[in-house]
Amino acid sequence: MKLFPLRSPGLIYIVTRAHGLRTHLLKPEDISVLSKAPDLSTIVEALLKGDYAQDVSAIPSEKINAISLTEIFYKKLADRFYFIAKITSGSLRKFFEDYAKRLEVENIKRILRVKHGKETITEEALVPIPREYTAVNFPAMVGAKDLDESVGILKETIYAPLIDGMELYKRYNTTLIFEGLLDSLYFKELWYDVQKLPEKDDIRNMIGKEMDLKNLILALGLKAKNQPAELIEASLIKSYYKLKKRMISNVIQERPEMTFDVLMETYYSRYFQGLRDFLGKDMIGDVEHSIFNSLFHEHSKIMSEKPLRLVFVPAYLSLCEFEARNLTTITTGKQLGLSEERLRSILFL
Amino acid sequence: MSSAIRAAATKGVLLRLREQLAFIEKGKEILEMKREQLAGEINHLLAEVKIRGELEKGIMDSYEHLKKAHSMLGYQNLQSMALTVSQINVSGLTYSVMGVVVPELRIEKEIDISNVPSGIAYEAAEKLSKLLRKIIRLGESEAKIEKLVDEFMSTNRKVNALDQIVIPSISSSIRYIEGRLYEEMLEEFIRTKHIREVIRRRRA
Repeated sequence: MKLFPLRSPGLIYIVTRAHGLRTHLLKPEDISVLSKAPDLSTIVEALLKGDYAQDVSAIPSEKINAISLTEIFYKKLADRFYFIAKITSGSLRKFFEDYAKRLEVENIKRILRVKHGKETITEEALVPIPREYTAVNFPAMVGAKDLDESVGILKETIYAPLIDGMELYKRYNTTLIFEGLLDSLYFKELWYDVQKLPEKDDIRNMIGKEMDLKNLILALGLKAKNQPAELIEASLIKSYYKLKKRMISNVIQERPEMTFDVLMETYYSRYFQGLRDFLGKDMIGDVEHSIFNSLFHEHSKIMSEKPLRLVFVPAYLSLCEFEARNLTTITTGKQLGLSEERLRSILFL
Repeated sequence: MSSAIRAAATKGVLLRLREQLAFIEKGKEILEMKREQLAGEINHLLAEVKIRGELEKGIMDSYEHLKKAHSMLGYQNLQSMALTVSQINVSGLTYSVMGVVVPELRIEKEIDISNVPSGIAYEAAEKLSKLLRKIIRLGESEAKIEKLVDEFMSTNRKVNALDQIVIPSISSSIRYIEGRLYEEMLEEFIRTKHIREVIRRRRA
């Protein structure tokens, strides 16, 4: 029997709390039932019985639609992320705060895209993040007159390197530069935090895989769009786990018909098995969904196989994110009249 | 026929009517040629608008992709991604086909979807952007057909009017005058013959 070193009370507490919080998550059967609902009102009725009840019941019935519900799902996701950060301390708190920064990154991306399109955006279009957990002045970014000013507002934050990305942005006129930089900065910070965690190996494995796979998807997507190599390189996440920079370069530089074979040589070959056709037809959306679905199953497996390890907590957070995405897909899909079969094919189940 | 009756049965009028008939027949020929040209042009354009069914199917398919992207990403996220797409720039010009002014749409700047970050949103954008060019071409062809068909119908009416009213009427006037002149000539001939006979009898 393998013996673990004595664990801190804080660690035991957070894992125990995560077990309790996990029971609030919707089970795959619940998601299946919701996907079969005939309309949005049936889904709303079902949601009134769970964790979303308070927020959903606060919306006037005439304002219930996929957009207002999506706002609630992401508000709940932010609450779940920041609750975990709030009940931890030290290196754990730093890790969970930085893990939750993916919401902040998503908000910055949305603002920059809108500013690039010379349109206006309101704070309602962003995921609500409690002021104490973010160093980014979102109201100022939203109110900035253009993209330059929005990026300038990030000067005093960890996203300051975006200012250096302005030159490349102006050269290629694409926000992909900033999106790549943001992901890179996010994972760099998180990767640094992981090294200081107790029981770091499992978490390294979980975060590292997500980081590498996101990098591969990013590279494949940009390659499918025939973007110049310099732009692809600049848009990639600069931290690596099992992936080597050389492998990513091979994926970028190899002829499209050879991409699958190159991927088969990487540590992540099993994620791409059966995706040869999608890759051949540049159906990156389906590749992306298939890979994230694999990650969803892996994280669910972590929760059942390692219930007493710290990795249980980030796996729970990952499932929270998948739940928000699933609920968004179901409510929006229902509103748009997507068939049940089609809806199920794009869910993480 | 009434104009034929009203027309003075003189050789001068006959000559003028014959000249008029020749001129009108030449005009009719030209109009027929124009009608044929227009018909050819319309037929050519009709082949182009046959893609409408296929295009409608393509649009439905693209909307399915868009619905999928919309469902997977949510409205706010998809909308922010949509704003990274640079707008298409189309200018409208006109040119003349057989004297008919028809519109021509020129794509000055293609739509650029390469900035769309998500794979699923990119697929939807790619499908829609490919269709956009076809939709513009179809719109242009349909507008051209509308203009050309108007002109074709007007030309057809003119040819029919010439063929069934103007030419038969002038031809009938010509025939009437020719008949009258022939009768007058016969009358004159008999009268002359009769006078000659009277003179010959008096001399005898």
